[in-house]
Amino acid sequence: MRLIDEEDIKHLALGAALLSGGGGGSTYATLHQSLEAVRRHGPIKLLNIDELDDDALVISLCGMGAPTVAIEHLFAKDTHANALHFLEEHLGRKADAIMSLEVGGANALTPLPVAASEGLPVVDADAMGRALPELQMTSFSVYGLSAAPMALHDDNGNRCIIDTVNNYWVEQFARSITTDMGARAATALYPLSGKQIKQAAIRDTISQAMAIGKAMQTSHLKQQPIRLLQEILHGHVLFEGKVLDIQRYSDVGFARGSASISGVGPYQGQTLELKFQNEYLLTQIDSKICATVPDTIGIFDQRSGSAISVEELRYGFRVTVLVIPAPPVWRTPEGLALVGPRAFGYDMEYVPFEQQES
Amino acid sequence: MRIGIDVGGTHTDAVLMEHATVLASYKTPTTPSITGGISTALRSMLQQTRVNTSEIHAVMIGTTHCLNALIERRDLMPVGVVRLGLPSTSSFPPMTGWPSDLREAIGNHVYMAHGGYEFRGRPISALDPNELRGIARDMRNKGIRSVAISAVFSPINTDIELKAAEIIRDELPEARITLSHEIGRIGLIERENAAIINACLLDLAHDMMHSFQQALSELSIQAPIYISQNDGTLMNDEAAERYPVLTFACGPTNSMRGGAFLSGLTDAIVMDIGGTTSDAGLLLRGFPHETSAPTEIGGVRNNLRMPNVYSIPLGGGSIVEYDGNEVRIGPRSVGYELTKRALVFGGDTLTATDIAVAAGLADLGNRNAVAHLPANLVKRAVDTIQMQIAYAVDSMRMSPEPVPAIIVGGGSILIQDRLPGITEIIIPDQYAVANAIGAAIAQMGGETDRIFSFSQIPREEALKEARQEAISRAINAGADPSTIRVTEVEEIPLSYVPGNTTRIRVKAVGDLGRVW
Repeated sequence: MRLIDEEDIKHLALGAALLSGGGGGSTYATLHQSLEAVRRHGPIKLLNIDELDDDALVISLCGMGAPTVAIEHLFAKDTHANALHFLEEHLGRKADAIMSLEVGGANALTPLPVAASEGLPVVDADAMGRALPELQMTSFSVYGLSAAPMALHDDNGNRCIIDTVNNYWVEQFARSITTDMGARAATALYPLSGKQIKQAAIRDTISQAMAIGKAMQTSHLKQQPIRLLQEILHGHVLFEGKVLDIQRYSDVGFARGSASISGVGPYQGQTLELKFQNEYLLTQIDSKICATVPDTIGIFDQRSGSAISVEELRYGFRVTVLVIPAPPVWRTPEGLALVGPRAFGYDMEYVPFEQQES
Repeated sequence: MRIGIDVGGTHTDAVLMEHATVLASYKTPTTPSITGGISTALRSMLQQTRVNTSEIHAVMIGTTHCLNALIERRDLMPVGVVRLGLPSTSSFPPMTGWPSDLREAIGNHVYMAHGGYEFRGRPISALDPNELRGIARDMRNKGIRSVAISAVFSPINTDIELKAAEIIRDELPEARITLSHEIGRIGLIERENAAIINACLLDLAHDMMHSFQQALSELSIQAPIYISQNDGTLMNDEAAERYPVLTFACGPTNSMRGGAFLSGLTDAIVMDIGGTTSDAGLLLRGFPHETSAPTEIGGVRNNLRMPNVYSIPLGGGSIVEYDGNEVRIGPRSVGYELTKRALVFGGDTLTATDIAVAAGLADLGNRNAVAHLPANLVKRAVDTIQMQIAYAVDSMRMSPEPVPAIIVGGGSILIQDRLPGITEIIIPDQYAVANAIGAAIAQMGGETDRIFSFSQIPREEALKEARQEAISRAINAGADPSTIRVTEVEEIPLSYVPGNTTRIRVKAVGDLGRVW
């Protein structure tokens, strides 16, 4: 167990943005909410997975909606706490700890204000190891654990419990209801035992994100952000270049798009094609596939090392493309069925980027 | 005829133009009083040309006076901040994350009330007139005279901010009210912040415009005054008093647009080389390419549209250090003391300008004062300067195709006649006053930024509606309808939202009527 203070929270926000692979939404609002909560209630307990009792009740918290709506329609102060309490009421039991479902982007910090105000510990883990667009895309699903019963709550007090036959349907129902709630809902889901968390969560990801953020701010390599990112993210440089053409189109409720990046330096003369949905999904250099989901494809500003999200990607950015290997759980057949290229509509086998020819 | 003026940190530049011709120009040090430099420059130009002041139809002024006040936290008004969005948004009250000295400078008068919209235009909650009246009375008791109102998703429906302003004005008739939808775009925190900053600058903007008017009438110039905006278009005097925040980045914008005008190019990279720093920007169809990500000004996050500029700490006054092996240039600079401290001007500091003279790139001051510099040092320093500038220029390029570069600003002498990847380097004759020319040639613009659901309104119609709205805003701002063209159309589909929901942004510009 360790305590999280204001500095740790700032580091976590930075690390979460770097791990997001282009999605997950801006951490700006959740960062300041968390800082405010810690100022008011004191530091937050971060529990190592092994410290959980096997029969502890752990509930994941996650904001749902669209990143473009999230920057406008900010949450009410207590909506996430209300979602948690509603699920607890339904289960007839209080949570012993809460956790983040998604370490990439805004949701890495979603549990923190609730943890501070409710005096609950946060588990040092998540269920995605990055940012992913749908609720069933979790390591919990790989182990057959249910997202339901799930509580959904909006700022006005509208709320519901979703119970479904599987996690796919949780996502379907929750997405529709969230849209009706103004594309802004707080969710409490995956009520699991400590034992199940130990088996199925991706461990230590919160403290890793903090360490990444801290390194970016304090390392002696600060002046060479790309080199530093490579080291701390265990990433591999795939490409360096300038963003040229960007196409965006809407497709069954998801914004999809592609961009081409024209190589500079050692990559002069080559072109990298990038496909994205809510995250960066696939890259190919001169028509040869070089990385796909579930490996995290990160686009970083060459000068500052900051992560560029799908929404921010624009003509003229000078970027480095880094690939971060997916957590082992995503490279299993069960994991790939959930988040491999086919899950996003690309008819191809997943090949870990280390084994790609180029 | 028109007059263009740029009030910079060190120099005030002015030009007198008739059609596309510069009749006169003048450069003078900026004075502590904002109008001192302007009066000097105008008087001199009028004497030079003997132009009758009745022939001057417009005076365009670019100034960062308001930006400087914000950064220095001086002359700021207390602001009543009213956000409509309850029960939503209370997790992040207005002015969260602001520097505490700025919060103190404008008071901590934050109010959250009901109202605001969901993304598809449904109200989050109904506006509560009694709640707003109570807030207005509280502000009256505190003596607040400037109010900033923001509402969730006000860019897609402006009604609620207008209605709230009406109610508040009822209780607080003397208040000046800034509405967030008039200033910023989607992104509540950033738009609200921009509105608050605007509100705290209103007294200053009023005084500034008054001083400008006085300075002109002392010279018997009756022409209307226009103020340069961040995007390269103009505001009339009334708008300038209401929206001072829109002037913050007019400096780089004006030099880029002036450079474009002087060179006759509409698509090029413009490098403005100053005394301490140099800015590279990209011109697309005659306007600066803008940033899309939130930026910070005076420590406050905002989403004002700003020219996308790549700055490097290198200029004519940059100090050059040499340890016999490595050459370092900048970031320290002698700045406005160049003409005292540089070697060629009899000083004792080795500057980038001295290197340019020693290398034969420029002939300034006393060339003998740099004759002793080792050839090795001069060559390395010249190479370093060219490399840094080439990198900045290259960073702004959007395609591998070679592009021309326009060089403006006093430090243009540092440039050799070629840079890698650049087809052509153009240093226009009047490079030193490009920013004043940029002010003089500016146009009037209008913009719209809204979210449409294509399942409710077909895409073609939505685009048409957005274009029409931008065009009529440009006309309302004073653009001549016969010259209006749409300069930008941007469509951004929203992820996770069904119904083909897309954000459409359109910008239109046109010439000011009858000032040429």
